[in-house]
Amino acid sequence: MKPLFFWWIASVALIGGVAWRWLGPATPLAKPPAMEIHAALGAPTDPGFRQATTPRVFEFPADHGPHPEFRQEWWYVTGNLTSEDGQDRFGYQLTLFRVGLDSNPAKRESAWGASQLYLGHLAVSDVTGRRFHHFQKVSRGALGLAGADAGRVWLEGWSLARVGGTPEQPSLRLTAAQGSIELRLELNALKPVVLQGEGGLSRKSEQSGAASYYYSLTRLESMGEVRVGERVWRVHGASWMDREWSTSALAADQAGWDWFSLQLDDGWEVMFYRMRLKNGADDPQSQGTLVAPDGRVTPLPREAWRQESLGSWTSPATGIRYPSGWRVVVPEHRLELTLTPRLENQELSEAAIHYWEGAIGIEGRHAGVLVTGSGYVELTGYAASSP
Amino acid sequence: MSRLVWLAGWRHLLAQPGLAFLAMIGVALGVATATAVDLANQGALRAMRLSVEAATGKATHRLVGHPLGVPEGYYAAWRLLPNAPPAAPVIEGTIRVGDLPDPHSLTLLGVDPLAEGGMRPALGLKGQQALLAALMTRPDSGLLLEATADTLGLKPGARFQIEANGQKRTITLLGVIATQDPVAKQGLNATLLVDIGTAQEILGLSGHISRMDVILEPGRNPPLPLPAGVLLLPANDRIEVLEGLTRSFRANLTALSLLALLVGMFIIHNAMAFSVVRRRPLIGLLRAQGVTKAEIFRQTLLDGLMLGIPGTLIGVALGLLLGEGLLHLVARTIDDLYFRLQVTDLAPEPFSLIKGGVLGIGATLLASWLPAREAANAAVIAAMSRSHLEERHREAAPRWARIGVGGMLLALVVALVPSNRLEPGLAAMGLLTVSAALIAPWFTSWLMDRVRGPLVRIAGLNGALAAGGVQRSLSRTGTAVAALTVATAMVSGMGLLIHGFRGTVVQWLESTTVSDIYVSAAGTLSNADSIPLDPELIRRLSSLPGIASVGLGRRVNLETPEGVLRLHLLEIDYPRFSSLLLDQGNHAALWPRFQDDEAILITESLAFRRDLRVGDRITLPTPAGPHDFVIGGIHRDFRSDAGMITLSLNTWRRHWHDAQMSVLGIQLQAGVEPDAILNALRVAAGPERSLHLQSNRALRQTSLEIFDRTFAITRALRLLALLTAFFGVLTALAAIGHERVRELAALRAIGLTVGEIRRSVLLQTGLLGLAAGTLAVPLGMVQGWMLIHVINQRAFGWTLESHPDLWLVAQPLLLAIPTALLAGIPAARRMARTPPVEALRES
Repeated sequence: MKPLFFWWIASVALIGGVAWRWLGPATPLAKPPAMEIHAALGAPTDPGFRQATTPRVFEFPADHGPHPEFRQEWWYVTGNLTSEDGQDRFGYQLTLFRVGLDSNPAKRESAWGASQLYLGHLAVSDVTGRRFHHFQKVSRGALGLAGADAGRVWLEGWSLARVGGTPEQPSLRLTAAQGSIELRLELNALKPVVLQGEGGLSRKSEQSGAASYYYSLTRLESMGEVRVGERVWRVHGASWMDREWSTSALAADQAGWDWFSLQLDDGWEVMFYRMRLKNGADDPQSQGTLVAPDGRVTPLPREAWRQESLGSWTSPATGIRYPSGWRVVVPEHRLELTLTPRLENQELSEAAIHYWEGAIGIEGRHAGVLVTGSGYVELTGYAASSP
Repeated sequence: MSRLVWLAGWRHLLAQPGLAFLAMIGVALGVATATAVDLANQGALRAMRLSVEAATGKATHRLVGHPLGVPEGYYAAWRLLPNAPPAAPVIEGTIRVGDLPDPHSLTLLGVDPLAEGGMRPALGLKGQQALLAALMTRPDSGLLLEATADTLGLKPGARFQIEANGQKRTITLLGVIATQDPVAKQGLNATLLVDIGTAQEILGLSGHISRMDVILEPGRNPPLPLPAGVLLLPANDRIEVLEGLTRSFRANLTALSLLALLVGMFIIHNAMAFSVVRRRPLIGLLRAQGVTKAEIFRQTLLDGLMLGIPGTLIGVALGLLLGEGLLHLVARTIDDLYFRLQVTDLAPEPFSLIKGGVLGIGATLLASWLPAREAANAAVIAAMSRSHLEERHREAAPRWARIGVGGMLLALVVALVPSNRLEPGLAAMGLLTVSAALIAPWFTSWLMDRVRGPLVRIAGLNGALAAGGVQRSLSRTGTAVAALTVATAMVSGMGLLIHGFRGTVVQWLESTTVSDIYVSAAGTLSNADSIPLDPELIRRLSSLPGIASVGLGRRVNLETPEGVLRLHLLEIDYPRFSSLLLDQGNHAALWPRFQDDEAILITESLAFRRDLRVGDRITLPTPAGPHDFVIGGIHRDFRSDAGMITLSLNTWRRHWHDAQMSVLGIQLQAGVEPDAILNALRVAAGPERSLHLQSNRALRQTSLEIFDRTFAITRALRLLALLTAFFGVLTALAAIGHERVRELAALRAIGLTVGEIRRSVLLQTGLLGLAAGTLAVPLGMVQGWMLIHVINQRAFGWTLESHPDLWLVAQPLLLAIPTALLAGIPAARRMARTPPVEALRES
């Protein structure tokens, strides 16, 4: 009995051993960390990049072009459009980011050698169709794939070009297509550039250098075509462009920001941003601007306005909970406004960083008179606070 | 009742634990070999698929171009189109890691991390954003898989020397990719991952990329017209081409492994037949008590399974262990011959294990079938004596032999029917082998009749006893001889194939490597193209004193709609041209046509694979579109079994507008020392260039090393078959020993000494070896002939010359007799030790 029994046992043990070795528990797949644009694209510690510390003299058209001595920069266009027959509404966003990868790049033989990276977000909010379409693109600033100069910024097929107007009050052409959406718009500045903050130096926190150079074109008369799917609409409306360049990232105690651009039908514009601290309070450096129909600019310090959110919306894609709908009061200027997202879901859930950037409708009173309008809101840094 | 039958069988098996153990080992070794080869084949296939998958990702098509690749401007223009289909650039090449003690070859893979956009998720770039900026902006920097970095002994931040494009460079290892993804682990193994710009700089590929991977929706054309010389090819055909290329190689391995299983089957057959004989009285008793024939039959098969199942399980487990070793041998061969492949680890396919299990159990049932039938047909009264049974076997032996001869003839006919298919050839080999096994018992008996006379004269009674013993236990000895015949003939046949093959390759190398020194740059370009040498450098090197003549060559892998075709470009003089071994065509007549773009040469493997003849045309994609080239001659070349096209530089230049060459063959003036010229060449090349200088002898040696590596796996398989056969003889002898206890006791009782008994038993096993060896000599020769002229020809399209070798032909004898004697030693000792009184009383 014994020898054969031994063989049964031995073979079972051998097979068991081998099976454990080969088929045993595998190490679980490590999930790649989510991309953190500010931490990842370029070394934030690269001391070779300049910081925005003092006000500067802006020169146009040169300042429409890139500032490679600073680490990052963006051309940020948002707008609200209505179809010719007035039936359909759209919001849109085209953002082109430039990120410097190296402040002192080595000379390269290859035409692919690049020290700049361009990242773009394109979105269309089909308000009538209740769909939000968005895309991301990224390319290197080499081989003509992406780049910028005083007359144009492009990322592959997405571009924003200056086609006329004056240096301070330009006319632009915006072209972008991806997947189901396409934009072809002419944007004419109705007001000259507005320098935000202290003559264009916009502080983001108490730390020195935690600031950017920031100007806006607050009202761009817009017309052209929007395609969603197979259908093309002739559209008109108003757009807003922000230009900002800096080397700073968020301060350690900052969580994110809420940014509002409001275009009222009585010819006024309001911009304000609220830097949120991780402890839930507002950074005192939050600020804003009021632009009169004639282009006159009034700064809004943090204490000049009050805002409260009226609700919230949780993204089914990312699980992030964003505020949704606001009441904004600027007592000194007798502004009482209610901001309502045109669509709840205007989250760029498939972008490298998740944020909410959406078209809003405005209703309220300005100096006692009923007023309506449109605008855009950007909400960042809500991911960490979500459960 | 069946419980009783079952118990009876079980107890019987346990009564002979040694025999049961040997039978189990026999099955285990056979199953282990088959399983290991299958695992290795599957593992290599999987590694190939993963490598291709990692490199291809989600791409549906790739754009490739020659001579340099795809112009980078085309890629940029594509990307700038509105709504452009996804596209990503790739540069691939080979580099050598220079300053490490053991020089390694790495694949250089250049991608645009920003353009990947999920095209190749396996590259693991998603986790590498922190390194992105450095990867893109720091020249000569890259990433390695963690395992590869460990192998090279490199830590993140380390700097190491590489040789590429004929230049030395220092690379900074920015970081390592730690991944558990099997695709990434396989695809990035032994790969230096760099930014596309860095790759372009390292390989000196200014203005071009190796290929462009794109995702096109079904039916959609590229949005831009293709530039001249650029082809659009489906992405997934690479794996199909690779599988096709390596199919013959893998089929041959499988056939070899099945031979080992066949040998294992003889062993289990022997053990079962023995157990049935031993149990005849018991079977008679059971039948008398009403147990049916079917029950006896089932029970005997079940007994076989009692040995076969544990044997199979052990075999599968052993196969897993063996498989890993074999996988590296298989992968090495594939890497040498077909495709850059570095296998990371064996991920056992459950299906391979199941196959091994089914094979083992199937083989057991098959081998137990005859003994089971015999048991079932046993007379109810257990009167049939052992001698009666052996008599029946002796009577049946000529019948089996006649069937065997018929089978052999059929096998020869099948082998001789002209065909390009490998399967009939392999079937003929199998039939031949099984037929030889059927002849073995009759042949053994016949041989004993022949040797008895001389034996009696030499060894007296002992000789007669030994020869008679072999004949008397023919049911036992016949199978042992069959097993040993199959194993040793296989050793001899494979040996003859390898010897003939090697001899042919040596001849070919000697006649075609006419230059004394070969100069080339280290590494390869994309698609394994060789790296062009600077024309100025070629001029400088060619004009050194002491050089009699110079020939130039270049290897280009041309992507065609039918797969990659290897081109060999030559700019040589007539003496060099006439050294090519032409199978068809005449050197003098072909020479002017070859030079003037009228004719090209193809290798016989290509002619075989595509069924091409002299005068046929072959279409190649050129920058001006597809062009037909006339085949002027077919020559022999053993560099690639996928086949090769040889064209003159002149022809290449005319159609591809490119005149770069990458290998310089230098013939020295009489009396000039190669070492002196080697030094002069190094000095002339300058310190920054890294050239490979190889003497004629070194080149031949490297080629033969690769050749020998290719057959390393067959050595392992031959050894396994021989080991299995060794256990076969052990089983047979153990069985005979049990049976002859009484006979030997009687002999002792009448006065034979222990030593005489021992010698007689050893003589008997020696006779078994002699019988097996004698039968295996002609069988091995026929197998060798079939392997050379049928199997090899159909698998690879190579014409080999037989190089008969007495040592190889005689090998079965030299292996079989010692193997048999070795296996006989324990039996002889045991038989001689048994006290005669006990043995006589016991029975």
